[in-house]
Amino acid sequence: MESKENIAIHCENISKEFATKGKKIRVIDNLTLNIYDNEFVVLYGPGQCGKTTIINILSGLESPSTGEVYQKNEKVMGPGPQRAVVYQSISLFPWLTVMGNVEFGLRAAGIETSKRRQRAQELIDLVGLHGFENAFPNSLSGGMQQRVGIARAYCIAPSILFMDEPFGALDAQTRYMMEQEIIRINSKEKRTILFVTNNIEEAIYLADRIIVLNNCPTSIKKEYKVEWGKPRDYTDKKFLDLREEITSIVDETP
Amino acid sequence: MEKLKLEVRHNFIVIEYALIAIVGFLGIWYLTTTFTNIGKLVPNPIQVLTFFFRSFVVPIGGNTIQEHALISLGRVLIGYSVGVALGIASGIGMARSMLFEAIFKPLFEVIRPIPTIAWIPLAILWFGIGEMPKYFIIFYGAYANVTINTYAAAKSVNPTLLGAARMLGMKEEDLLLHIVLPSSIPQIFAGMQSGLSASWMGVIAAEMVKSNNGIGWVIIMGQESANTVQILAGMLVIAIMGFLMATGMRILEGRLCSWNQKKI
Repeated sequence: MESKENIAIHCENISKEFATKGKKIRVIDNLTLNIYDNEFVVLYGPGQCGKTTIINILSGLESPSTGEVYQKNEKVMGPGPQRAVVYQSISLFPWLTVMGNVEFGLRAAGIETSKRRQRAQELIDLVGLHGFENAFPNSLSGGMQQRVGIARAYCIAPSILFMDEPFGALDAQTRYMMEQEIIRINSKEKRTILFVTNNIEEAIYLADRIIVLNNCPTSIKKEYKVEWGKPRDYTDKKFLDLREEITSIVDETP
Repeated sequence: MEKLKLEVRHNFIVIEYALIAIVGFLGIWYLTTTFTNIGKLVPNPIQVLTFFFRSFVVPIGGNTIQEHALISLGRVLIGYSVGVALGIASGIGMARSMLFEAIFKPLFEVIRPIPTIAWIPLAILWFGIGEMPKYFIIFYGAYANVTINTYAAAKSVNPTLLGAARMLGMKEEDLLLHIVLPSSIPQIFAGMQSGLSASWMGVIAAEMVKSNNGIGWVIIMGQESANTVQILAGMLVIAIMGFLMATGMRILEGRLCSWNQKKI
């Protein structure tokens, strides 16, 4: 499965430094990463350091201090619809309805109204928001808003989807539900996904492969393949064992 | 349902008290002017209302009172629309272009504390005594407020929203119209509201200084002929029109910014 041809996105030796108050802070240190087609990869790491920056660099929103990012042999130079992002802050356009938000990318691409409406409606139905097409984001709950965020990202049919702690702002109950939902949605509209979280259960529940990160500067500590089928059971022995193992290596980090 | 009932009940109480306050005010006004010496200086409300209604048919100077009101309103509409349009353009220009900002922001900081009416003498010297100085004053009241609010709004557009639009494939040149402008609308509207009251104050003041008609002129003529009733009737027209304009703006805001309202 892992040959060079089916690498969806690839970065080599990327580092990122920020200058604050005259001091240089290294946020990412020599990160080399391959994400393969149709893989669900979870970046798991504690703390606030570096994970969002990795997403920003891979999606093209920020450029790395050193190193380069390639998507299918093409260098990533800036943000674009081949690399969609679902944000932790949800970040819907509040002046547009649910439909307006979901069809936004297709409108920017100049797709004619009837075609893009049809596609957007499919996605709205898929994420379970049928009947809310004309609602404004402000009138929806946090979980429903993030469903719109997910539909908006899927709608442009990107080759890779970045999800930056998308359920971090939701309450625990809604979070469990959304984790199940993302498995269901991704089985209907198969995409390559890079998902960032600081929640270990979420990581094991979702991932084909978990990449455990060191904290500050961020680098790769260890990788785990999670090869048993989805949906998974949180109380399964395999689940609990893996959870304990990952937790133990993360706890060593100062 | 219970909540709705409470709300209706609450609105009812608000209207009830508003009526009691207005009727009470008129009552006290009537009683004090009729039974004390204040009546020698201030006419009673019945005299004012009689004059007000009579002026709909009997002209003050060359025009009836509703014509004066419409003349003032017409001036406001012209100066105000130009002020709003240019204000939105300048505000966005200042927020999006470093050069524009560097040049015009300090100028605005200096000019901003000068009240609209302080421009009247200059406006008359520059533009003569016709309609132009009035348009200028009204324009300025709207322009200053709308520019500053638009600038502040366009300057503080959520960068994640701009990133999201780029990520979804929007071109740089389309961000202004599709992201910056709509996300600034609520604050632009706040500027339009304060701009409208500045314009309205400006036209009354300008008409009081130099004019042949308009509500400001009605009031200043009342002063020159020591006609307190006419002054108070003019003030009544200003109050009614100010109220109508504010209500109109609120309705328009509800339409334009419905997405900005939190769910109940």
